[in-house]
Amino acid sequence: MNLASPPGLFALLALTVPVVLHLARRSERRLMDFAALRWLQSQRGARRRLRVIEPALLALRVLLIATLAVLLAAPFLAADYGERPWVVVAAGVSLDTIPTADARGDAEWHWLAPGFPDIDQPRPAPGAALASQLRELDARLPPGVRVEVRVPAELGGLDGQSLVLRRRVIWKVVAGRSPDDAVRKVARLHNCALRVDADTVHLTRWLVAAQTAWRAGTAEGPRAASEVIPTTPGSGTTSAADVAASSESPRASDCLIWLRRGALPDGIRQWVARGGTLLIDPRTRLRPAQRPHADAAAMAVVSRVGADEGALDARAIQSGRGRIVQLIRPLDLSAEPGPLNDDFPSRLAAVLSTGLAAPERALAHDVAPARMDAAGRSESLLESPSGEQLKLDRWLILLAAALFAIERVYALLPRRWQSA
Amino acid sequence: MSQPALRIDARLRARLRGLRLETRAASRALGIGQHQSRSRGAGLEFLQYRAYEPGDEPRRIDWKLFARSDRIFVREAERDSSLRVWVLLDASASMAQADQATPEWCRFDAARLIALCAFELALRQGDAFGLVQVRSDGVEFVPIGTGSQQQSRVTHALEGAAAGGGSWPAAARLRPIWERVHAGDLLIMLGDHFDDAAVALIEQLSRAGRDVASVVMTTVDERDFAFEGGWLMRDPETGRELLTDASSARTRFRADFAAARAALSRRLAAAGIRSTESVIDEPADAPLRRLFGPRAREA
Repeated sequence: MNLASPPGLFALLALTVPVVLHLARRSERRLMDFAALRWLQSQRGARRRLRVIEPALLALRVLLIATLAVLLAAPFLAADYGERPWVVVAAGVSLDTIPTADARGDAEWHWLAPGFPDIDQPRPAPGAALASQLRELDARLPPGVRVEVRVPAELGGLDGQSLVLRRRVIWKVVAGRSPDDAVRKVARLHNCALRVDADTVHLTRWLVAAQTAWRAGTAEGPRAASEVIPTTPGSGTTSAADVAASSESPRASDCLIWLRRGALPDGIRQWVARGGTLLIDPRTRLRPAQRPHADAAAMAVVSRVGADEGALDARAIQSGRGRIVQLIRPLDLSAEPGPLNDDFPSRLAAVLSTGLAAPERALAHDVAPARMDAAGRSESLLESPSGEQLKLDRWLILLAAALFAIERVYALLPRRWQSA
Repeated sequence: MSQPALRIDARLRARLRGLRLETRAASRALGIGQHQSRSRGAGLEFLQYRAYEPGDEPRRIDWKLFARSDRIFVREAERDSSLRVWVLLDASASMAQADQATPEWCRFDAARLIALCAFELALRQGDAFGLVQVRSDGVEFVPIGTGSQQQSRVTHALEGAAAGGGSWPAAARLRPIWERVHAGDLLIMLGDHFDDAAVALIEQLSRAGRDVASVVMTTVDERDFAFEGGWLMRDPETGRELLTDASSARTRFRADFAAARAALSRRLAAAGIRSTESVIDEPADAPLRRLFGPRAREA
């Protein structure tokens, strides 16, 4: 028999109450006239001995309180597992925490990876989603097998669906984090086209400089200057184009920075839908369907993970296969942080990655799997395991009720006259 | 009288039938008062007329007196009432002891009921009877007499009697007993016999020719000592108090008490006193039966 909440046994401290009550008290010296006193010897030693009043009733009461305490400790009979239990280890858990072959007990240790290789094999390359691996494991193993899952504290590879399994697993969280390879990298930002108008043309050199900085950080060397098409011709940019061409979607890049007032042209919208990344400032008008929703809280949270962009806070929306990232405040030289900051390139790169990664990271404690019982309801398992516990609860409640009834009857029976 | 049981109910009366109070001398010799006398006529000394009671022999009715007074009287000669029965009732504080289970029935009540039964027997036999109550402040008599009027007197005295107050009085106060209780009288002592002075008195009385029969009265608690727990016991006569743990004191007390009772009965037997032990929960005729019943007479 196991106890789901052993602290319930602290209720056994209440056993002291009936024991103390049943001890004969010093004050219990009632007066009685007794004519044959001369034959009564005075005893010295007997007074010091502790005497229990009505031991049978005390035993009943002690038994009752013990039953209630055990009931509070929620005992349950562990299910009979026929096969060996499994322990699956997710990528990101330190190898030090994995015991050697002779210290593993009777459990089978596996990696939580496609094919569930044995733990003694080299750590597999991180790849497929952890959540789907868990579901596959749950489906593959027979229902009676006990499964323990060891995950790092910062867990990646999750999907949007909460983990609901058909069996109860032991969710063991170890310090660590899932490898970054599981996270898609930020989109390539080498070829970021730029469309500016008269208001924002002064930012051109800063934006071009940021892109130079990006390229400087990559293996490729500085390349030809990016496509910067101003609205007004002859404003000193690299390639001059006429006004009509300013609405062109970028030819060679998958990233566009559109800092123009006015409605977003359809051509650009279609380019985004084909898989481009668009950064716009607040003056750009989007048609209602395109507008990023103010309550896209999940995306906003993920986009702000790690960095507080300050003036570069942005919202992102999926549009077809591409994304539209809208700055919340207009980009300005006086913004803080702004183009004059020396970390502007990396901040801009982070803003362009807004909403890129699907939310698949979370703290392991928060995503502990729930168990789906036969009726389809799920209950969190991080609290106490249920199921088998119910059986013992009912018996204990019956026992406690029976003991209480017996104790009351016995206590109230008219008995031979005695003290207390 | 607060308790209801100081009367002889029908069942008790039925059990008393067939019992006779006798001195041992009388039981050995030919009883004078209980056998029909062979002497008749003027040889018998007239003592008194008393009213007819059911059970009297019809030939003793004085018809001349009946003709004169229209009431039936029985002639009583001196020799008829040959037995004088005294009941010595211990009314000291120890007699007020009652059982914890029946606090309304104390040892004194049981003694009074036995006294009432003894008087009933004496009345039936036509013998004379009287009552002595010994209290801490002295003795109280209902002087010897016969007949139902005497029974009323003793019943009235018993109803108003109460135990308590103190222990057995000093010997000086007991002198009136010697004057009233003559040699040859039957003295039935009803008491707990705890006091040595009481036992000494009846020993002396027995040696001085009185026929003493003792009913040694014990309460159920004194016999069993069935208490539990801690108690502060107090002697009602001396006022001495004793802290005791009942369950651990039980065995010792029972042994000591039984030994004391055994010693007492040996002492009484040595003094020629018929004695019987009576626990106060037994019926009132049982000790009298043990003392005066057929089996006692055979012994």
